[in-house]
Amino acid sequence: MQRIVEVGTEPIDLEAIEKNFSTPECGAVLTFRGIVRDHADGHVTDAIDYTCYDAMAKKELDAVVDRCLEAHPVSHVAVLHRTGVLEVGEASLGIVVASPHRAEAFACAAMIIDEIKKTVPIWKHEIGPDGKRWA
Amino acid sequence: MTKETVLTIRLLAFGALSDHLGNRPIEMNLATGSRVSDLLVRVGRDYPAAESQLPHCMIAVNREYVAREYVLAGGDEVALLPPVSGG
Repeated sequence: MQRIVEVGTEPIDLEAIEKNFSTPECGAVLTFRGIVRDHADGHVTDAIDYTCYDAMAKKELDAVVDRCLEAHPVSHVAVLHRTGVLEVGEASLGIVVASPHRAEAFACAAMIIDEIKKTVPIWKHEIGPDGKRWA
Repeated sequence: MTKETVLTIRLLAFGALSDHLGNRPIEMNLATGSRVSDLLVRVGRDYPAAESQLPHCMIAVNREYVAREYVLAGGDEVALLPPVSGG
């Protein structure tokens, strides 16, 4: 099994991971990119400053992946969350899940996103013409 | 407080709470036996602008989530974590 879990400031590049996860037993390779969009709650967004509790974010993201693999076993999983100031159109989150059949891959990826939004200590500080506001 | 009855913790604030408590660790003295809930009362008193956010925070001690009843020890790193918004 291949497993990649990262929190960092480098741009998210999933192409090599998708290729490596395309192993013969996997009939489904699912990729999700969370992208910074240009609006939130009626406000124009130019960029988002993602901040995190460095010492804890990677550990919690690992715990999320553990829970999701237990609930939805898959062949390979990668979860990469980017921090720092990201412009509209840049990826803040990348998930690649590979499994023999599509159902497990969709279920695992969906649970990963949901769980990230509950426990991983990362915060959005939205930047726009109105100034900065916490999401 | 006498030396014997005091413990010192390192307090960190994140997200919207950092607007009120800053981005640097704060050293705080508490009575021995203090729980997380006691710390939150103290933070609310020292930083009134942050008080309304405290009930919604999760708390981590030494990078593990804990309940309000958790008893603090000297040297603990206590993080106040507003509702997370990653993704």
